[in-house]
Amino acid sequence: MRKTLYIIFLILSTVLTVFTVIDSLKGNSGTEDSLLKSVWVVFILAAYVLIQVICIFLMKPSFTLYKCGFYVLHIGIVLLLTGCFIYYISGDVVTVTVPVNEKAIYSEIKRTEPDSKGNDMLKLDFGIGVSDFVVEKYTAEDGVEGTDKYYEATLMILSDGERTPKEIPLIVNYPHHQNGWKIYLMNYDKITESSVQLMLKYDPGEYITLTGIWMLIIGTFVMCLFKKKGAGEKV
Amino acid sequence: MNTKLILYVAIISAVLYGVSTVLRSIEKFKKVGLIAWILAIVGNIVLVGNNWIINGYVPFVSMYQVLTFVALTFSLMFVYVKYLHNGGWMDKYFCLLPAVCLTGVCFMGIGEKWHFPPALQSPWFVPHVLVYMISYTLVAVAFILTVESIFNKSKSNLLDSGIYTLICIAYPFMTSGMLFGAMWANEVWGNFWSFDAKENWSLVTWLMLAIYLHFRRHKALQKYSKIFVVLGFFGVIITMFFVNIMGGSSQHAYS
Repeated sequence: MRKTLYIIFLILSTVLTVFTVIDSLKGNSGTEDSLLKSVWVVFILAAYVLIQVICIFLMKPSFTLYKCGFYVLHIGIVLLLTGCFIYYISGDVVTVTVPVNEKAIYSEIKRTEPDSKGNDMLKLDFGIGVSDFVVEKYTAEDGVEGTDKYYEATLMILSDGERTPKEIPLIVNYPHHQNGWKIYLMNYDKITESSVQLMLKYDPGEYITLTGIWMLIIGTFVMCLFKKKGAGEKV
Repeated sequence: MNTKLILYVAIISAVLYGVSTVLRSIEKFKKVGLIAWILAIVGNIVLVGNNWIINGYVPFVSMYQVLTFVALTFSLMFVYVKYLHNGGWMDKYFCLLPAVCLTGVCFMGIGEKWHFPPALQSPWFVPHVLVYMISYTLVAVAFILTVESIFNKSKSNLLDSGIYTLICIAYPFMTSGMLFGAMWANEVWGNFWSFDAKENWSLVTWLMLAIYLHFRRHKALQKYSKIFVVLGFFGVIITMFFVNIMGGSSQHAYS
């Protein structure tokens, strides 16, 4: 049984590798034409989850560090992929260009593409705007003139029942959390600097994915560093 | 520091790493080899320190900066492998690979300043790159042991267990590198995974080593396991050096 599972694991991984090679040769990686963004990959990932679950049930339970690592790692993979599936089914993401304007607050945002129900607009239960934007560039003294060193937008959030918006600094790498949404500063108008590109993401599976990720990291360390030593294993 | 001087330090360090590889392979010159190795490490530290000072951030951004640091990582990991895993016999492999890295460094933009874009200004930046460097150095040494095990059947058992030990150390670091990257991507780009070439190839590398670890523990499949160390190493090379020329939409374009 274990051998069969390993062979299935090999086959699934080989398919993903072949997809990666084809994408790389065609220059499709990361684009919408990527094979790795096709529905087949969803089935492959579902199959990964299934074999993890079978492995968990096949393992004879006992209290050794190695086996604890095994459970943490394999349950971690299941959680990680489950979190991703939840996002795939019920998550939402919208990218929007917002003009820098002290007064404009929006509670409806036009989607770049309609969602699965055909809605063009995203209705939020709070208002959003950008009141200010600053950008700092590298100079000739830095030796890399003209590229961005730092940029920051001042985000305005108007919550339900409030009259004045809250101002929140928004920078790259530090998204703002609001009513289940994460708001990211993605880019800005490089010529006029008069508008910024924001991304709003709703991911109900995020904490499940994060739990899975940490379990996978911890489980791998425990399993690999407390590995069993068999014959010929001594270095 | 003067660019020419830095180039000389890089060349001398590369040569010293190479010389120590040869001397560490000959029993009676082992001590002289160790002196050459230590001098090479000192030169390597000067290169890393210079990169750090002129740029003002941990020098992990450009390929030149990364390769300079990777060369140093081999020696650090050797200390770990020697004292915690009884792997002192692998010394010559840990000397050879930094010589290769620093030889490459000599042909790159020595002393060049690099911008540090806002996307990289994250607490995840150093741990993500550092753990990847640790894992890549160990996979590279495991690959050389694998090649040697094909030609040197008399040491096959020793080499096999050496490979297994190195991959067992490398794998959790590789897992951490990939997943730190995913968590960072979720904070900076708004998704854990965007299927760009670097991410996909790092996943392929990770899967190859996962297959190695599974096959290695199975009696019937063990004989095929080393193929996946070789494939994993090719995955490392593609991830590090080739993904940026593959086209498509890459979030890792600055690396």
